[in-house]
Amino acid sequence: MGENESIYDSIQTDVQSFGATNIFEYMKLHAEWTKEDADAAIDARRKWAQGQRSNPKFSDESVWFIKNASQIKDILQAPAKYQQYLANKKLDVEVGKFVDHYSNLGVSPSSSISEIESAHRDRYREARTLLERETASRTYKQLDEAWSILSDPQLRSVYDVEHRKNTGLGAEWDQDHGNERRAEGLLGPHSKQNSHAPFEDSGQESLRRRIQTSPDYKFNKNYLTLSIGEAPTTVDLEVVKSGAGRQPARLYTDSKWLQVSPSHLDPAAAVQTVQLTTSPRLMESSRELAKLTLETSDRKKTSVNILGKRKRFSRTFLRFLIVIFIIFSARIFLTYKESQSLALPTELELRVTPTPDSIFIDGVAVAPNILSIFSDIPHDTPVLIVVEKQGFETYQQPVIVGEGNSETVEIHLQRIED
Amino acid sequence: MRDSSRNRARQDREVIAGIDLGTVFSSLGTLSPEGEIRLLANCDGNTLTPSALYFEDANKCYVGEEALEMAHIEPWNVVQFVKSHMGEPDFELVLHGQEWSPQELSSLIIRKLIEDAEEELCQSINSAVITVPANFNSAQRLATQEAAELAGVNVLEIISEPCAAALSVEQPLGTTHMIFDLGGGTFDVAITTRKTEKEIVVTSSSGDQTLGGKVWDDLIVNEVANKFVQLTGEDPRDLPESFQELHRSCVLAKEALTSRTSATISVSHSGLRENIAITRQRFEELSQHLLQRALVCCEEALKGAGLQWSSPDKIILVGGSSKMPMISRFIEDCAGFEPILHDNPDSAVTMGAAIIASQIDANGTMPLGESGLNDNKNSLKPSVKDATGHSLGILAMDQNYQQHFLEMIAPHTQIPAEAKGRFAYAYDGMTSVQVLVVERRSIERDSEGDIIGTLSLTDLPSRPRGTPIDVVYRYDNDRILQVDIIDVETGVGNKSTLDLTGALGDKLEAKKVDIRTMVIG
Repeated sequence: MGENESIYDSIQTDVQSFGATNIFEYMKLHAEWTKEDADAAIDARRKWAQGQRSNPKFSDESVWFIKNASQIKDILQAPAKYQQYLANKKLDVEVGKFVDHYSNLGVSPSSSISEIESAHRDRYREARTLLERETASRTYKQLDEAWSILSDPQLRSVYDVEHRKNTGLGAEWDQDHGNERRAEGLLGPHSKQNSHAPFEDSGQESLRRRIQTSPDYKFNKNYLTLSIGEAPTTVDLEVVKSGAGRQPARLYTDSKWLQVSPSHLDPAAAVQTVQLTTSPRLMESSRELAKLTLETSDRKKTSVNILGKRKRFSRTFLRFLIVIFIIFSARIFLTYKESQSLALPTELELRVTPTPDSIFIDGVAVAPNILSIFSDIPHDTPVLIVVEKQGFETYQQPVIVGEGNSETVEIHLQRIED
Repeated sequence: MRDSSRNRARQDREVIAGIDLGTVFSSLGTLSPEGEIRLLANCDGNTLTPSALYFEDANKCYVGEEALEMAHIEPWNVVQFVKSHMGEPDFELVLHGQEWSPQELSSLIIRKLIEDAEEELCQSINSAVITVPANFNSAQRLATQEAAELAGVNVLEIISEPCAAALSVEQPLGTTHMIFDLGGGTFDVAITTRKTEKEIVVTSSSGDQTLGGKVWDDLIVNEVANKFVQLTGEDPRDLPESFQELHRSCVLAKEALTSRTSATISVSHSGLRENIAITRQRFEELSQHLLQRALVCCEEALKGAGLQWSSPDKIILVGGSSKMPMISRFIEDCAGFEPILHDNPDSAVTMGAAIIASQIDANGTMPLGESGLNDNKNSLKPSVKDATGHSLGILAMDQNYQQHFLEMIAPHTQIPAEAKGRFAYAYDGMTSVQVLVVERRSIERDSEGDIIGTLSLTDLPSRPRGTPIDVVYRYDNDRILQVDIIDVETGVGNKSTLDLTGALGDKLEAKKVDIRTMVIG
């Protein structure tokens, strides 16, 4: 069982990252599938994988399938054990994982394009010395993907919304991009004839409204490299709270080799020290990435990426080696500001595919973007959304957003069938 | 009269081919008796053969252009970019119910090259020099060698691509060149020095096996697909057939962008069709991070040779992807002077491989220049000496039983190289020892490495801890490692070949039959 478990764990993790809850769902097997169905599903998936291997959108997944096809086949041949495993495992289902491109690059969401470019180069340089070949190339891909998205203002703005939702970091971004403009009176009770937006600039960014209330957390280091000796080492971190008032927060890491204590911050202290303890023996390789996360009571997270490098000595002593301990200590200042605990404004997020010709909200034309976010919309009353595109059926639906809530409306326009 | 008899005599000489087995294109070259490099055309008349295979059925496959043309019709039966998976043991494709390893697939490409070349030359080719990326490790090199053996070719040498490319250009005595080799799937950079009249020495090399023209293609594919999604709501990447067609058009667009400032790609998917334009400027914006990756590799190579950007006398751009105008501009920005694009960037590696092939006697390594054939122009060509790009070592324990990497052969050591280390039994009463061979990918001193193979010595007499044992690493011209373990007191040794990860090993002979029975269209 133990041996199978690690195989199951890795298959399960991968399948979840591809957006399925388990391997049976991934293989698109219906409720009462037979062995023949399983064989057919494997053949079909293999064909898909062989055809999509060079496709940048699916290359990771298809190569993964090609390499794991025989194991998947084994599981489907005798599914009982795997089902047992699924039943025993308290599934932490995180399907279709959110990828934090900022933390992959080790930059903050407010970073400028030149910071992102140099971070990409530095992380690449580090990845070249990292782990085995396949892990390294996967890391290159991650870095390139992060760069592709964050270097493109349009993709970055779409991604930032996603990022803000998942991490609670976003206020900084809004400040730094500074493209948003308040559009007073945008959503009044206008008639549909008034088809011009009440402002001149209808550029991509002009409708973006910042969320005023996200607290302004800041680490002055987003990325930290620790050289670690053979014995457990501790590193002190200083956490500074700016602003008065209490702010409860907890601290945790995502890796066994890196522990943090205490696990909760003193909510009143302005400056306090937390200790990071590294256990090099728990590292699976001599270089590993871990993340230290600080989460406040209002669920705002901020994190530091930590690269642990185990010191190795490569001298050709003929018989024995001298073990050298490197004691390394660093003081890093973590700064976080007191959160202003305000409620979120009423917010409406519209996602439209394909790009529409026009969008009307309560009869007012707004910029026809793929993604737009509106705050200041009337709450608890129906708002009529009309989306038009030539050759597509007009979308027309009222939406009600409660006070302080945010509502996402995804609209997929349907082509008119002749 | 005298001339013709000499030529006849030459024709009896065995032809040794230089083969560039590329990720996207492969080609074969030889040196004519007059010392002229001859790139041999395939049956379509092209000197570059796409490294693509199409399996019509279990016993028949097509290699080259014809295979590419099937990619959008039967994508699952078309194999491309197989080089990216060389030496990966768990990578097997299933074609018409049969499993194919990267070695076997590559062997069919080699067979195609050889068969077409033999037709063109009217001579048979039994031996070849094959090129691989500079930072291919031993397992990947061995897999390449196995591929050639499966194709029935005797491999005389496995040589690094930039090393071969270095020979295809004139290098004056005392000068240093940087060879920037950006191919279809891999990137290599090497620093070469002409130290003596007779040889060019590679002093340092670096590279990235995932950086090549294909990654640039992907940028256009993603850009165009995203635009298509915006226009129609459908993603052409979602269907293998549409994707393959899109990929082909994007490759053509990328080529067009080397001479034009904009290109239009016609995308059709699920009954929808759109023309999407991409400008060279946009393409270059999208590629910045890839240039940065190349920059990091170049700096590693320069650092390894103890040089600065301004140090090389010339920077030579080779590899098909070096034709992109952004490459020379980027290098010029880094170095402060203009690099030189090779006359034939696509075939520079093949040309070099052909020269090396001509320097090797059919049964040894005697350079032609010393064999008395003074009328041969090739005798004036220097030979090339490669250096290790990796650090090779062993995992051993210290007194506290902690494992450490011990370097046996340092990076940038001239090849062939040999190193001997004396180790000791870690426990009392041990009767067997196992050597874990580690190769470091990067030249960085404290980087992590891959365990590329293991070698065991068993049935030893039981003796106490501390009993000495010798390990010898030999790195020959093929850069495939040989390891010997010798028990010092008894002299018992294990000369068996290293069991390299991903190698076919014993299965090789059986597979040869399968390959021979394949019909290549």
